[in-house]
Amino acid sequence: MHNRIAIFRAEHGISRAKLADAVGVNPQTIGYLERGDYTPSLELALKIARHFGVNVELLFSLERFEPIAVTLRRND
Amino acid sequence: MTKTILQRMDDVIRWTGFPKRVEADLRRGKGAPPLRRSRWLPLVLLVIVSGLVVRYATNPALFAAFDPAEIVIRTITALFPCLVTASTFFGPLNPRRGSEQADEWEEALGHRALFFSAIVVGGLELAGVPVLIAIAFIHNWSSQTILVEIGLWLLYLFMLFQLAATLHASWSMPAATNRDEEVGLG
Repeated sequence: MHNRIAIFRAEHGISRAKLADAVGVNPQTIGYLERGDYTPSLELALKIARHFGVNVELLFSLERFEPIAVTLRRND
Repeated sequence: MTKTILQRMDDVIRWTGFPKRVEADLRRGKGAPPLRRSRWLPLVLLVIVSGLVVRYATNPALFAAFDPAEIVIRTITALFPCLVTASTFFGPLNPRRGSEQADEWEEALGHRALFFSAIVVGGLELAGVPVLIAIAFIHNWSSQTILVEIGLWLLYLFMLFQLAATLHASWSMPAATNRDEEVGLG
């Protein structure tokens, strides 16, 4: 499972601790999620997506996400 | 107004201080300090404890020896269950960390570790009991010796259960990442 939590977190300018507090887990767990060491439950994935106000597919994917530069180039 | 038995029981529970502690934990919620790995202490304890069990299983006469050195070793051996239990406080399955502070990742870690530990202890129990019976027959142990050896074996399984769980959790746990420097949000 791949995710873009770190990117969304950086974009929103929030720390791991704040995100962890918002979704009800420990900051350590956010770290493991970002590194891909842990696959979250559906509930946690939905909570994180809701926190960032996006669909869960934008945050999590079974396939590797394409680089943002490629997405931007395609959208130009 | 006299209190009912249930109210008195509530008072006793409140007197212990645990309800206040649980309330404080619930108020604090998540955000507990990161779990710590304990990879080597349980391993060292496991080696020592296993060595002691083999020592007493192969030579039960040591239980009754009056040699001062042997008495000291027996006393130290008797302390090991306490040491093993105390060692769990330094690992990821620290019993002091309340379930209110555990999130889904911690719960999953604990479940996996306890499952692993149950398999190890169950497997060893299945394999160990026939071996113990065979040794008892070969060496013609007295019923008292058999009882002592069974007691020692049960104590060993009790310690092994705790050590195996801590070891599994510690070795399967990735290094802690509690810093935000990677994305410049420290």
